[in-house]
Amino acid sequence: MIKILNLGFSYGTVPVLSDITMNLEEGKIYGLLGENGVGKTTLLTLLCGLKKPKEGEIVTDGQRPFDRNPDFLANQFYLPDEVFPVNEKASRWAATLGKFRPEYSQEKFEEIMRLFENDSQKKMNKMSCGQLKKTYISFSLACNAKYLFMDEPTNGLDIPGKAQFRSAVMKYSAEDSVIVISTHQVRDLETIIDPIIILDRNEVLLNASLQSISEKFYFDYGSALRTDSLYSERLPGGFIQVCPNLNGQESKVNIEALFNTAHLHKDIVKEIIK
Amino acid sequence: MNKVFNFKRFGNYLLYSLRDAEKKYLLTFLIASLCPVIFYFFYQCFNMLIEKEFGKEFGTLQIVSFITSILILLFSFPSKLFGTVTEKKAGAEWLMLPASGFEKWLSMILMCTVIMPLGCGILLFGSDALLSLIPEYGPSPMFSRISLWFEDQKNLTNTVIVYPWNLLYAEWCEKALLFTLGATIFKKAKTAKTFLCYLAISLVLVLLLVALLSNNSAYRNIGDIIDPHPGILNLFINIKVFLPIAILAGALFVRIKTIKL
Repeated sequence: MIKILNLGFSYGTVPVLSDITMNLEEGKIYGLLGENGVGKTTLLTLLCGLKKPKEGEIVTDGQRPFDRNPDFLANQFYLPDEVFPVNEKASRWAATLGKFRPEYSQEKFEEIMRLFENDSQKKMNKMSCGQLKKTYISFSLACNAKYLFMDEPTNGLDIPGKAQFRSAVMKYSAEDSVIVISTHQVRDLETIIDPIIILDRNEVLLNASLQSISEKFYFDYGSALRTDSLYSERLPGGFIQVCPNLNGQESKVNIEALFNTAHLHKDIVKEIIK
Repeated sequence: MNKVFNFKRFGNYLLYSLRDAEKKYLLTFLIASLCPVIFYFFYQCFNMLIEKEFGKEFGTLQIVSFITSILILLFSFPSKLFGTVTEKKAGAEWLMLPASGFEKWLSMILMCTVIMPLGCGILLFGSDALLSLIPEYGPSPMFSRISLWFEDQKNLTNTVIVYPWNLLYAEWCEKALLFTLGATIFKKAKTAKTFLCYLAISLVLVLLLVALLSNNSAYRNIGDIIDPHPGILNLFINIKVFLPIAILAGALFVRIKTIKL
């Protein structure tokens, strides 16, 4: 479990995150959403220990990530937004790095590479951007790490690649793992992420499971405009509208609409979620 | 799992570093370390073109080739091998590699102070020794020339500097660690910025030393120091050489432990 307590971080005098408190629990795939520059990547890098909190603390299974203890590092994987090509065959690269991780499985790596229709015998610096990303995703899942932090993992993936990514995450991630996926491509991932965390300037605007969101908001896909909608968007054949769920109606959560609602009505959304 | 040091993990990490070094730097290393051969080849080519005979005056160029080789290596290998740690992509992978800060530091120290000087020493002196087997080569092997020069210096100054090769090695270690530290601190123009910092620090230290000596009438010149206390020069040289190495190694460790991306 990751405990984040009063976390604050700034770049020089520019605050990015302030007083963030939340817990990230085992067995969940968190979707970390937010506008550009709100600190999604910063939060991920703080969680994995690449940065040191300026205020507050992060405790992962009793350890502070920035201490970067080897056993802690072996139990987590950070997949950055941009990955770099190595002058080496993917399978050899993975085997070399896998030696540092007790839970790593080369067979699993090869299997996920096959799922992605990616050639593990190809040199990584000869791969396309998408193929390279798939290689890194395959490695991240083959590490069997308990904590997996992915920054925009579907960027650069082709259409089948996005579906393969969802399958791979669902099939190959451990049941007790904590996966945090930062993304702008919510439609690519809305079937696998739950709970949702929406970051706003300096704060967490929303941190709730899909069930709790659907209990509090009603997502109307009808063709008539509602007067109580917080957000509405025209779709072919109707609208998607987000309203407070006052009657306990069931609806399918549309994460993109939810994000836009939170973006437009921060205080109302915070109040409803409370 | 030991948090600070584990032999198996360190072995894995050292092997990983060596493979990484091979990928990034082997060709440059070979070319730089074989400078005497390359210089000799071009020297003879020019001689054949201009003088129409083999040249036998390679002595000065032999020294130049050694200095060139060492400068190329010292200026390039730290930024090439360790400079990526400040980069967002490669640096993140390196920092997240499950090895302790101490193991990463120890591996860097070994690369700088053992593997690089050993490899470059063997290639430099070895290729030079092989060249000296050529009848037209001219000068003695560099190893003999340096040894002779040290002997001459010893006789000339009658000082207590007994292990000049150790001092030469320590000088390499100091500069290698300096440029390695620079490579892990500066994001761009690593070598140039490190060099400028080194110049600035040296200038300040020299000015301080001059001010210290000129203020004390008993120590107006180096002879005043050596004559009454012959051990002082040796002590001073040891401090001058080994203290910076210890400081640089310590600073490198702190840098590795606190690096943020």
